[in-house]
Amino acid sequence: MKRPRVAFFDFTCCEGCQLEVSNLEDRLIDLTKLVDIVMFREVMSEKDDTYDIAFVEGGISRETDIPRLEGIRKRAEILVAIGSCAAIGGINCIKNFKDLEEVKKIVYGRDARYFDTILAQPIDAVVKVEHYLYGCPMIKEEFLDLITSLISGKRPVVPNYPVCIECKLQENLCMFHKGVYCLGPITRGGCKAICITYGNSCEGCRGLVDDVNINSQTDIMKEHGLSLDDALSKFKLYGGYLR
Amino acid sequence: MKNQKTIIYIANRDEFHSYLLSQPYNIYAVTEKEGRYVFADVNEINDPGDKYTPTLLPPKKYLYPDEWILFRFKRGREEIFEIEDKEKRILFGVRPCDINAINLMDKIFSDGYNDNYYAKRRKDTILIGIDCFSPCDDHSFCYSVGHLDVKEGYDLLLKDIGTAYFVSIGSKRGRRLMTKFTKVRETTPHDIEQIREIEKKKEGMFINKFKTKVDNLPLLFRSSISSPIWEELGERDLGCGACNIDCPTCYCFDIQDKLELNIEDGRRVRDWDGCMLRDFTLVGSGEIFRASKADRLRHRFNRKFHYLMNVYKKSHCVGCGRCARDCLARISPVEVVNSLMV
Repeated sequence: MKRPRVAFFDFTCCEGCQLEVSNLEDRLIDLTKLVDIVMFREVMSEKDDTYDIAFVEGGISRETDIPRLEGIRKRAEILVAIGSCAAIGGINCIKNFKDLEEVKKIVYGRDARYFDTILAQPIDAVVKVEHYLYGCPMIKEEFLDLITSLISGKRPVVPNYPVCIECKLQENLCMFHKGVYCLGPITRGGCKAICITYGNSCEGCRGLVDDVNINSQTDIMKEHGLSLDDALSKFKLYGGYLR
Repeated sequence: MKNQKTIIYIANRDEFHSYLLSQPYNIYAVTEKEGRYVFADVNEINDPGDKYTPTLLPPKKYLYPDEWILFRFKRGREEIFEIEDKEKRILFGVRPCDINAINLMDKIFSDGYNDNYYAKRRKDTILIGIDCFSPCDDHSFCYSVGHLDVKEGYDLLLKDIGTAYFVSIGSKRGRRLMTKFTKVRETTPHDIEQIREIEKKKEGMFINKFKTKVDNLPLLFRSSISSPIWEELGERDLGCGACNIDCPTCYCFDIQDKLELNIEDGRRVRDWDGCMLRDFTLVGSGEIFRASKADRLRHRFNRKFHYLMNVYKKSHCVGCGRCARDCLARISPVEVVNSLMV
């Protein structure tokens, strides 16, 4: 793939993943030598509807999102879901556990009737997705690795081990041993256990790693004083859409 | 060879520390972290002495680090650019279990195929051990697997008696290091007596936690291939792989080529991998050889107590207990061995 045309799009999200791209700062120039950025609302005003790779941030939460996403899918050769909202559903899906009319009232108050809302979902619930960049936000290095891999014809590597691996590598004391519950053992790594390294527990933003042992994780959370309901609500922060 | 083990009495602990710190090496020693210990780059040596419990990561992180850039290359060219690594280091305070683990790794990385990358780092690393007089905590079981005592592999082995060290010399460079240190004196019969007293106290403090002798383990594991224990453990197992990362004798790795942004320059990177992880046995065709957690656990235990033990005649678990200490599902080698004995 030679100097692909690249576009960025967003649906329901905070645009933090796209911000990570602009945060590449001194490497942005090198990136523009490698790809032709044709659409990136967050950093430029030019627009162009011809592109090879579409990076899509955000989840689907309105009826009108669906045709728009389908349009992007048609135009792009490769569609990449970036960040928790697009890749796994993420935080937006918390609303799926409440009545949608009530949700609208909480958010928009008296103006609720002017807005439409549907169950929040990741983009692969609507269209086919070729690649995923997980995390809240996605990780800059993984973004660059995906681009260099696509251009050089190499299969991109998506980490498929739990956060615990990188947490041990950082030599953090286990959160459970500090009396704090943590989703690290079932969450896809790749983040270098950044939250735990800086004192928080893992919230599961990168979604479930393949082949998790949910029963064992739930037992361990219960053993550490969490009720099944508490454990489930912890899972639901990012993982509400996951089965 | 016998006089190489001459014991030298060191008048002062602090003086020895200052001497080491003045030497042209980077010193890595045991330091406290969140109530546990880690090996870290230090400006002063403050070994915890008998309060020591095994460090969160074993010292293997200095001998075959994770995210290890082996060499750089240019895409499409049959040329590699070696990475210059001039670091000479001292690992201070390595306990017998970890020295024994390094001895096992020396064999693994040189048997059949000599791993030059490992050999270079090993050659550039001076090991200063500290002997254990009592078990560090309930999780350790070094005695049970025959790794309480260490006979080789170290450059110096210290016995810490509070204000002073007894030093055993284990190598030529260890001897060189000691001859340059002037504030030492030869041992007296009184010193020898003192060492004997210490050694005597050790007796009986370490017990065999296994319900069998270590030599029987290969046969035990061989005959336990279809034991229901593996399924039971597999159900509890989180599959987090922490035990692989923590283990001083787990050495499996993955190799990836990564490209820089100019997609011309690349680097070959060696990352730690672990047999408890699903993708470890995933092959190009999409098949996974050990698909269940039970299969993976059984394999891991057989590697430690059966397959490699048959080849090298020593337990490939050194009994440091790191895996058991950190396992949220409370899977420990002691429990596994003893439940297979039933």
